[in-house]
Amino acid sequence: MVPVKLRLEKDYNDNESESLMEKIKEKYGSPARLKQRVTRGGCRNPQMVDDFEVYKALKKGYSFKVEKVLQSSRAVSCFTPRRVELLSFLKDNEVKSIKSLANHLGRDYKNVYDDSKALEDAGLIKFEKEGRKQRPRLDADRIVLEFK
Amino acid sequence: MQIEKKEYIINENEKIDVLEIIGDDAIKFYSYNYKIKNNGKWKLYLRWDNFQKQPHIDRFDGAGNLVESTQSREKTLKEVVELVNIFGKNLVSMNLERV
Repeated sequence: MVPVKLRLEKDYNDNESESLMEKIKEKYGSPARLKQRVTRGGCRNPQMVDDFEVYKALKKGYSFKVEKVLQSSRAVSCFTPRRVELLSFLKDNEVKSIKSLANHLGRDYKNVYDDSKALEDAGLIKFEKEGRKQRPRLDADRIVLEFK
Repeated sequence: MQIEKKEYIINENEKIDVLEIIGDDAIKFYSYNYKIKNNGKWKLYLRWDNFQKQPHIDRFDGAGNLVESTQSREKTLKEVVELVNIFGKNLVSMNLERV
């Protein structure tokens, strides 16, 4: 198989960036407190250091981009026309359940369930649990195929 | 000026969590976190970062405890991905000065 990489890319908008800053503030009490904890005596807490650097950059107006890179050829081999259609639908739409996704796509529930699970196994979509329902979600603006 | 957060999946049991802060066409801050999946959970074992402009490598025990730390030269994501692809899980027990 030709060595390829898949990139799932998502750009945060201003609201999402602000919400991220708020989350970091809440987590540590205040930005000053975070700074104090990180800069005092050679902090070696990886998450705290990363949060501190992200907060500093967001405060300066840096944009935020999230990527998931899949090196495994399995991610590419799972593509079929129907699964591409499913991904394309999830890119622009939110659904409450697999059943709802199947209804929107006009396809059989079982086939959509199997396709969704295959895409989840390949790391392309996620499921969010809401009660007993599983909500399939594609957390990306773009899927890029890159030849190594 | 961009913050890039990446989850670089090597295979189903190994990944690198990446944070790069890029300004003026240069990486101002990076952290590359090599993780292995154990019992369904991702555990951190190695971390390259240049916090406070001091590039170094940290080794963790998989339970969140820092075991060892050493200075290193600046690393790129490409170099770290190559190391992981070549040595895989053996990286965890290698001499830090070699990685």
